[in-house]
Amino acid sequence: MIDPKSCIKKSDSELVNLTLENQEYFICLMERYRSPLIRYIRRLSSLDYDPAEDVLQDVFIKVYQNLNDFDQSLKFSSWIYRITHNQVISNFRKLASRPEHINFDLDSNLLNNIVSELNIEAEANNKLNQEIIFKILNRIDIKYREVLILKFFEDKSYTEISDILKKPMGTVATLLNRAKKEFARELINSKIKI
Amino acid sequence: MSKNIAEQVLDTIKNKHLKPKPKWEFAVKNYLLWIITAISLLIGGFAFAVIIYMMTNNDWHLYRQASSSFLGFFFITLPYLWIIFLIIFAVFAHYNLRHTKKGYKLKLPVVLSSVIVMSILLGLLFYNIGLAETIDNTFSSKVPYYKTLMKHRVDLWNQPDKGILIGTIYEVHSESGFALKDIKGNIWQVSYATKDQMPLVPNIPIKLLGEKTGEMTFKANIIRPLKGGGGPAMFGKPKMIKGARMHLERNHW
Repeated sequence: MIDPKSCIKKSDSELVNLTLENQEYFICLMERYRSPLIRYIRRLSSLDYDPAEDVLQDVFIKVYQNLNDFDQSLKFSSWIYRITHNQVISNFRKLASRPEHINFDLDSNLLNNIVSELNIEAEANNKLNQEIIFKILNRIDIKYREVLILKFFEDKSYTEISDILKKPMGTVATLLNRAKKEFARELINSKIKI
Repeated sequence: MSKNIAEQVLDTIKNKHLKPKPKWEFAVKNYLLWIITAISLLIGGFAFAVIIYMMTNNDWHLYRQASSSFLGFFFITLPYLWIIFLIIFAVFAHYNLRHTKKGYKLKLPVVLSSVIVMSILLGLLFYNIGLAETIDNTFSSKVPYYKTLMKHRVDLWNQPDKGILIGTIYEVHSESGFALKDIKGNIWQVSYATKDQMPLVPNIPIKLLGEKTGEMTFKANIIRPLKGGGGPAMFGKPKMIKGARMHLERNHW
């Protein structure tokens, strides 16, 4: 068994190539992406930790089986996020139900980012709390929620979001714009006093 | 449990003897998408060629004979089937192009306009090499229901009481008369003053403008070839005449 610590200095692409030669190296990639992907799955799907881990297992197996499809011109992180995103959406469809609650690991900086991007009055920053953000994100359409999560929670660039969602950059920009408006509208509809 | 997820996955991979899918499998899938895109563009091009063929052979200047208004004539003679074909295959080409490996990076207007421009260019090319007429005639003789779908275009020119009649030349009697088989299989005796521009050859679909002079007699002032909407197959099995020329040279028309 390869010690994941021994792979720290290796790039994702190197690890992909090494995994194709020796499957043991796959553990390095999995360890590298385990935490961010679990977080992403939970943010996107509202699943609890254990079910989210089940989804992640499926994701890792798909990643392994499709390693030869990885386009080296892309960032590996974008590719693995894309597979994760597709798996979560697929699970959504299977369950055919919307989540009742969302468990975000949200910090105040993220909240500030969204709020400032939304151009909501500055005073709102202090009063909007995590719970409100969760509820609002949970209410808006998944297509808007996913871009907001990728942009503000996963801190992805436009190019990365484009590669993850497989949408043109222009579409991503439009979606993000609409998502912010949708978020603001939902905030107003919620009659939350800020 | 969470700290072992990577190990669990690795165990699953080993126990189930999972392997990464071979590279060629992904390459084939991508090439297939490109091939389907190309085929869709080709079919779109064929459809556009037939549209041009039908619209250029519409005898626009004679619209008053067939319809009460130009707009009415325009909408009745539009080749809807081919327009639908063009739209379907353009959408199909667009869909497949977007699903190629890097297709998602292309901007929607760029993809759409490329598909439309390609269909138009291919359509013009196919039309200019004479493929459109062949496609129309082949569809008419080989594709079930094609004649039915094109009937609205033909029916427009089949109003003997209004002085327009279509059919195939059944038999040429003399320099000033011939027999014509109409779309229902009736035989008309046609007289004409001049031969117009086109030579009269058995089995060729034609359009007559003139007047109905009797139960099954017609006096033609204008004789035009009938193109677009089925060709000879529209009128059933041709009459076998020894030595008859089945096709006319384009220049004569």
